[in-house]
Amino acid sequence: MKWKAESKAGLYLHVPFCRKRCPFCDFAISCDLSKASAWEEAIGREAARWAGAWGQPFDTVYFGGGTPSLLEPERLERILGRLRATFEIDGQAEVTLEANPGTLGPAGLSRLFEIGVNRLSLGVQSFDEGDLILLGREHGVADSLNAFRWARQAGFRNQVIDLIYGLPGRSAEHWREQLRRAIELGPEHISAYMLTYEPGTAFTRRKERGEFREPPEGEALELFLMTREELEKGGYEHYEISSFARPGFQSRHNRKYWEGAPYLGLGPSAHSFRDPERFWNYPRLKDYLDALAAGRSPIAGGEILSREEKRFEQLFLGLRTSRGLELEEFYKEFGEGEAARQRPVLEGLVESGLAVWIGSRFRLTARGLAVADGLAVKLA
Amino acid sequence: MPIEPIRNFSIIAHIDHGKSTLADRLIQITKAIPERLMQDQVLDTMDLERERGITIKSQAIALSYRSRSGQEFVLNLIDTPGHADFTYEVSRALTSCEGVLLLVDACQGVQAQTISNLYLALEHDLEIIPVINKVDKPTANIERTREQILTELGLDPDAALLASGKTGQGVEDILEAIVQRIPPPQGDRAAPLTALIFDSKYNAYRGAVIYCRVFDGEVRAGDTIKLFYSTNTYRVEEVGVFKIDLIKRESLGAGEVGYIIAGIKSVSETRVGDTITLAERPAPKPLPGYREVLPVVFSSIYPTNTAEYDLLVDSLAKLQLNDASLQYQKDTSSSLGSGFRCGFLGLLHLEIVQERLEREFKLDLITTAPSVKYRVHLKGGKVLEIDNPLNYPDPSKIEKTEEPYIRAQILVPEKYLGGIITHCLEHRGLNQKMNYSSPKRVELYYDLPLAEILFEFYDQLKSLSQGYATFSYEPIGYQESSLVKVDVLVNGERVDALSFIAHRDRAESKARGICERLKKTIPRQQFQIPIQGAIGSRIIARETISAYRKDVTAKCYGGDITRKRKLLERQKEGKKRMKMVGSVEIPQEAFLSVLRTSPVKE
Repeated sequence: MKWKAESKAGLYLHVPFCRKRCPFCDFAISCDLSKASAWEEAIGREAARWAGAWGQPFDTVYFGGGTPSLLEPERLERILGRLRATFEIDGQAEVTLEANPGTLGPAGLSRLFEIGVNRLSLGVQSFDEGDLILLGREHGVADSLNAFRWARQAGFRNQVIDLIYGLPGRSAEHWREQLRRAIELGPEHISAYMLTYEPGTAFTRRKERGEFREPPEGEALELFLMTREELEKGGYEHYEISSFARPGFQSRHNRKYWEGAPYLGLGPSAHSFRDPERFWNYPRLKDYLDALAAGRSPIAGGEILSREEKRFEQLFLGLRTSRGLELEEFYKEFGEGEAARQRPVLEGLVESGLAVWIGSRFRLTARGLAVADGLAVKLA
Repeated sequence: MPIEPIRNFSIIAHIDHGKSTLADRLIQITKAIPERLMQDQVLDTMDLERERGITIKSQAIALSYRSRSGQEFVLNLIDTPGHADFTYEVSRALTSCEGVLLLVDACQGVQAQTISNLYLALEHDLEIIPVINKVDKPTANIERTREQILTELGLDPDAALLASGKTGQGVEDILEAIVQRIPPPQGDRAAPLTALIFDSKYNAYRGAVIYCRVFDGEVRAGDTIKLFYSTNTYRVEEVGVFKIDLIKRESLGAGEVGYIIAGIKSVSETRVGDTITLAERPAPKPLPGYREVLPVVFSSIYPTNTAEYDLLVDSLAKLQLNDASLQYQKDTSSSLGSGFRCGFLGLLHLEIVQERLEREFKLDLITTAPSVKYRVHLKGGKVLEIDNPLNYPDPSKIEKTEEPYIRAQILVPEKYLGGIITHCLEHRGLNQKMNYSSPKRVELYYDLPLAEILFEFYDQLKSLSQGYATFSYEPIGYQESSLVKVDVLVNGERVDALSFIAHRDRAESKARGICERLKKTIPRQQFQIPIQGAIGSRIIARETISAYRKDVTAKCYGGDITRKRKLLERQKEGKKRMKMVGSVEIPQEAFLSVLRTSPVKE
């Protein structure tokens, strides 16, 4: 299984701005919106640094954050225009923008669609007002429903909603209800993330104080399986741990991350990859801006993947997806002795119902996906 | 040198009664080692010995002493190993002496080992000088100790010397007593050479250095010597005596203790107990008491990382140069790969070898459960000796099975008798004899399967008698016994390295114990793992390790795959010391926990 070095690249832009930090989030963000112009200029400079150097066409663009929808549509239009002028971007490119309900009205959404954003990812998180308060979100349920409807009216035919589950004190039935509401709304793609307690977040502190409880393993598994079951019934394919899509609506951009395709990340904390090299920018907005203002590279670090690291990445990333691993090719590239050593292990996993063979592809079942991390380590 | 001013002696004591400290003090006072080179417990040279506080192998040193009457003496102090695994070596060291200092701690009084050591000394007809040690301590009770020397040891309390190895008090008196009371060696320098090997050490530049006591005759550089047991002949390169280094001498003669270097490649050629004589003028017969020391405990050693096999090969070869009692041969396990089946003198010996391999050669090892050597009679009359469960024949072909037995002698104060008898019965012991050797002390003789005493038998015996029981044993050959081979299956897969041979009545509880331990040491995996003990296809024990069911993290953090990989790599690191059997990772500790197994109490 060759990594898709030859396929078209993905372009990621990190928009670090948020009105406030959500209590579960540990991403690189800034609440100082007055820096938006400086950021825009820096993005322009960073893109210019890559103008000749990247030399590969893009077929996806992804505005992630942060809260990209906080930016004025005009600013986004300028940036997109600039990127199109700097890089070779496919006319049919998938252009995604992450948006928070409540940040955009019908006019703004129409404008976004007009300038070429064709995939809108709404941070709905839940259809329960209480959940939204717990999560420290600034929007209400009505904002989500409105934003979704306006986006449809604006022309968006590829919509994503993000949901979070495993919230403290919530029952399985409560989560099932959220899933039903999501299906009812009918986006093309649903990303359902189990709440992860990231170090340093307010949620983690509350968990440590005993206010919050992580669902015990059995419950966590039940929630995970229920998510898959409900969404599959609703017509969504479970194609990666947290990603579900109607046929033809998988995230082309995210798949690049999982399949070893090249991607270029602009903006603070953005990561880039071009086999075998990965590098990343300064995570803090200030460091990022300072570097570019001074004419320096914003790259903070990088690594050249060793053969072993590459192998391991392919393994754990492949296991997370519904495509699984093309083992014959995998072992052709990484050694036959390996294949012989792993054969009994693979068979054992199939026997335990954690994996299946689809021809020569080795794919995890629902229960297997729930322990994909451990299995990756076992097969490493 | 002339025989008259020579004294050969050893120090014997219960553990921690101050043997090494007193030895240091004797060395210091007689200036055998320059002050600046003194370090605590000079006789224990290996790190391991110093750490464990035991003397693993014997050593010797020659002390020069001018007596109070002004006569010059040479006192050869021969140190003895302090563990039952090396009993034979102790006996050869004592054979080389004419007397012993029997140390008794003034605070603790006579203890179990004091008595067993006394018996050993008496067996060798040695002059015994009782020394009450640690008299400087505030808790010293000299009067009570004197009384015990009389009542418990049957020795003249007036003959006991008072000393403190720590302060040096009384040490001069000890030296004087050695020359006064211990007789000079007997021997005829003109007779054909007989010299007893009581130890030998490997030196990377000079080969085996033989530690010996000359009984008759004389040996010098240039002589051709012959060993009775190994029948090899060697040309002597050098002889000498022990100071802190080897000190070269013209010759070694009757009564002397010293070393011989003769271009011998490995210590396995210089067996402890063998007799050295001259090739041209051999003694008519060897010194008595030679016994081939045979391994009694067998266990396989595998590198945790199969890539370290070659290193293990080299390391064992190097270790054997210095340890004649270590035996090994290639062994292959389907679960652990290539390794070696090794024979040891006992469990301590096994542990020492394992520890040296790990420490000195930086190996990471898995050791399988120790076994004794069983005898299997096949239908048709063929007899197999089986020390490795991997080689156990198909039960349908077996006529009968036998296991090695020992006769144990246990000396124990009467009040602990009940517990000790139960202990022996629980280990399939058969009482042969019981004597009241003194009003309060009982002498018990039990025939026990060797396999039963290998593990914690001795430790339990000690704790049941608060340290008072003494225990010694001798092999008495094989007895018929109903044996079975028990396999351990992890997730339905037989892990050959965990198989063991046991008495039929013990198989089930032993298998249960192992399954329980494995359940505790094998981490939960992504699926349920049954752990079973089986005789053939019959399951006799079962445990289940439940699965863990959810570990996957929701996000891959966008393009930051590195972060995720690093997280998983840390988990991978933790699994380095695991062996994959089928699809189950078994940690090294799981194999080790089985090593220490004694049957679980009902």
